[in-house]
Amino acid sequence: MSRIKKPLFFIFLSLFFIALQSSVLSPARVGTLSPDLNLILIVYLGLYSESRSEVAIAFGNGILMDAFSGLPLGMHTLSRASAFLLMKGVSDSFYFKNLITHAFFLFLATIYTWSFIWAAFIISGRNDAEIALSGVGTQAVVNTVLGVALFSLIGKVDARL
Amino acid sequence: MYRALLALNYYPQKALSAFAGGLVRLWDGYVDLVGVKHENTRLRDELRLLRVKTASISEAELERERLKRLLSFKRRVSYELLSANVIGASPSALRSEMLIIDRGRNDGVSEGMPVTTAVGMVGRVFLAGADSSEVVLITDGISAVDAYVRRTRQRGIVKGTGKGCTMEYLGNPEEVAIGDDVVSSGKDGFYPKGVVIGAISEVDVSKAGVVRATVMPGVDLSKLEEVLVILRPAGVGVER
Repeated sequence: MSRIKKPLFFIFLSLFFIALQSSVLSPARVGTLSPDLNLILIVYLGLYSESRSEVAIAFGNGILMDAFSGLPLGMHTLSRASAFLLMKGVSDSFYFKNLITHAFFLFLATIYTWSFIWAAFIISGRNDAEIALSGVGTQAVVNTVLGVALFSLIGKVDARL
Repeated sequence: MYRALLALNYYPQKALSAFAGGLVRLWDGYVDLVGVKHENTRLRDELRLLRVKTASISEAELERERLKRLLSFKRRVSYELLSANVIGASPSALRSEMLIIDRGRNDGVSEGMPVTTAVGMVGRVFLAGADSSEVVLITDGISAVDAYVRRTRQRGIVKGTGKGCTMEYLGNPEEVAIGDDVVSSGKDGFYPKGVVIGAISEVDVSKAGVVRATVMPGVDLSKLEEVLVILRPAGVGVER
C-alpha cells in the first residue's frame, strides 16, 4: 500500500506546490522573495527517495514549471532533473539528516539550478530572460529557510506512509 | 501535453486564487480591529460587523467600477470581446511576465489572441488550455507590437524588456516626446489597431542617431484582476 501512497502523496504535493507558486506565491506577486517550492520538493526527493517513481515525479515537476511559465525548451525540466540526480548522488556519500546539511543542500541546489539555466542560455544564445545574481542569492536564502521547515513537515508525513 | 497540464491544474489554481482573496480579506479585518481592542464586547462585535460590511461594500464598489469600465470599453469597440479573471501567474522567476486566465478553448480562446483592459494593452494568449490560458505580457522579452506614436503617427516596434517596454526603430527623434501616447498599428497581424499600449516616459538618441523610447504600460500589469480577450481577428479598430 505504501508503494502507491507515497507516489500519490508526492504527486499531490507537486500539483499543490505548483498551484501555490503560480497564485499566492508567484514571483509577480511576491517578487524576489518568492520561494521555489518545487525545487525544495525535488531536493527532498533527491535526498530521501527510495523508489524509481520519485525520479519520474522530479522530472514531472520540471515539466510543470516549464508548462506554467511558458518555457517550452525544457529549461526547468533539465535543470531540475539534473539537480535531482546530483542530490541523489550526494545522498549516498554524505550524512545529511540534520538541519545544517539540509540547509546546505537546499542552498546549493538553488545556486546549481540557476547556474545550469544561465549556462544553457549562454550556450543557446538566448537573451529573452534576465537572471539577476541578487535575485538568485535571495531565492537561495528563501528556499533554504523555508525548505528546512518544509523538510521537517514532509518528512513527518512521508514517515507515516 | 502542456495543455493537459494546464487543464489539470485549473481547479486547484482557481481555488487557491479564491483562498488567497479570502486570506487578504481576513488579514485586512484583523488589522482593522487592532485599534478597537479596548472596546466592550458588544461594541467590538458591532464594529467588526460594520467594518466587514463596509469592506465588502467598498470591495464590491471597486469591482463594480472596474467592470463598468470594461463594459464601457466593450461598447466602444467593434470587435468581439470576452471577459476573463486572472487566476494565476508564472511560477518561475525566470519568466514572471506571464498570467493565467480562467478562459480557454471551450470559451473560444485560441493562441495569439490579444488581451487588453479598458485602459491599456495586456499581452496575448500564449497557450490555450480547455478552461484556462497562459497570457504573455507586453513586457515579456518575447513580446513585440507594431505601434505608432498617436500624436505624430511615427511608427516603431514596442518590445518587452522584462521590466517594461521600449519602442525601437523610430525614425525622427523630433516626432517623439515624453508623455506621447503609443497605440498599436494593427499591422503585425496580432493586435488590432488603436489599442493604447502606454505612454513614452524617456527618449534616448544614440550617437549613431538610433532613436529608442521607454514606454510605460498604460495598465499596471502586476495588479490585474479582470481582462478582456479580443476574439475577433486583428485589423478592426476602436471606434472613437
